[in-house]
Amino acid sequence: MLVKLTGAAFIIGACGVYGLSQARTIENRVRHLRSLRFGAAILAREITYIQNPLPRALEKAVTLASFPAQELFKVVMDHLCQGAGYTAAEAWSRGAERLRDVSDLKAEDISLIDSFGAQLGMSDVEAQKKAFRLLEEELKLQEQRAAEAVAAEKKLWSYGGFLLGCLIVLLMI
Amino acid sequence: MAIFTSGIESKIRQQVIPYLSPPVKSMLSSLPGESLRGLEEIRLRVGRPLLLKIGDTDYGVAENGVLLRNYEKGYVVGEEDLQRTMAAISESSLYALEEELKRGFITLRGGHRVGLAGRVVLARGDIKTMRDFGGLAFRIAREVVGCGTSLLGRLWRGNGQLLNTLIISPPRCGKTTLLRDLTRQLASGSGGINVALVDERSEIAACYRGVPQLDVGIRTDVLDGCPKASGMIMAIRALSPQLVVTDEVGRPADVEAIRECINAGVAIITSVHGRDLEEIGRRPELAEIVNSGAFSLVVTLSRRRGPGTIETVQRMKEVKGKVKDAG
Repeated sequence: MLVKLTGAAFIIGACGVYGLSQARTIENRVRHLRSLRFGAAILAREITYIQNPLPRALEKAVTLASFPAQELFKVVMDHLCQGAGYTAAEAWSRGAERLRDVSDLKAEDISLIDSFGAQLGMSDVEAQKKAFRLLEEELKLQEQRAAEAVAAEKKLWSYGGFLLGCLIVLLMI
Repeated sequence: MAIFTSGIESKIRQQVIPYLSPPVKSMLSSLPGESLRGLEEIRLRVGRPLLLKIGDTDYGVAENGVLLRNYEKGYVVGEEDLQRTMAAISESSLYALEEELKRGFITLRGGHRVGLAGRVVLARGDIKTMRDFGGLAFRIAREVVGCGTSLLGRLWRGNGQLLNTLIISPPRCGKTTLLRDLTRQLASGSGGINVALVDERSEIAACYRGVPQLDVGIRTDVLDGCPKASGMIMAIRALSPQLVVTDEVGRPADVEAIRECINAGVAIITSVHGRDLEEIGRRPELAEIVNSGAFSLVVTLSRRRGPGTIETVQRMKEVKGKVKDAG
């Protein structure tokens, strides 16, 4: 009997933890999109107003941005500074790949970030301003969608995990 | 002329080759030191052979890094080569180089210059920027320390005053190199004077982020990227120089500024594009100022015995009539 109870508790606990982690992922996505939007604004300021060369602009943005924008900028800066002939677009793409590993962003968010790389650095100030403005707008929209998803799905995952665990236990009895 | 270009090979390896795209970088890195020491220009044009100017000859480069006189058989520059090179020289930051793009060249650390060819964007008739780059021309900066020594003694009057000097030279005959060395020598040492160098095209001091990359002497103030005419006036007012040095005068405003300098008692050494005084005589503003006696010394250069060959050094009284006739 004790073994059965322990097993049931383990199943319910495991499903519950999985559900909670999914709920946290949904919530984190909003936070991460916001970090990228604020990070983009910091980088835009360094580029379009202060007109620091990209490696220096990124270095400054690394110190001011939060995770995961900080991680993105750091990877881009490291690639640009290693003298291996990376273009800004390639370095940015490596940064976007890194986000896939370390953040809770969805593939569509990563793809949005990745596509910005083609416009980074290699045009005049006005064109850079437009590109950053567009990126910030798009990130804001994604953030709104992600926030709506939190409202709709967070409770579902938070309780759904435990309920699923209970259902499995009931079916097994 | 004694030419001392020591260290040019290592300068090219450290200050120029790293900016090139990986395939071009690899080819040039494997060139022998002798070829690099003579290298004057690297030309990258999309869809056309990579060209290296060594002395007066253009060479192509085989993919294994061997120089080819028949450059048609050499490595052909691709669009990616240009994009990667452009990204490297601009640090992927074209937005930070608006002035350089307007001027059509970027100065690298070490004073080497990259000329840009591409689509020019105009705004109200003025050049706004450049994009869609199709060609890059790297010109290797060379300091020829001591090239002005033979001329230095002739720049002074008996009473210790500097002579206003005009250097006439066709392109690629070493006038900028000569101006730089004269500036360096006049502004250095215990008897040195204060020099204001108006370097509109960043060629003489080759400033990189405001710091001269080539030796222009300890008493030289550089107005980098500053239009010559306004720069000369600004220098007189702000820097109280004993000598103003500038390059490639020719516009009416430049001539007016030269007059201002001379009237203010400041000596001037400048250069002008041309073969000889006859050619200068065909340009009314220049002929007028030469005839007015503003310049006391006229030096002409050529490449007859290599860049920087001093053809003639004439005092003004010897040349005045010649210019009038030509004009």
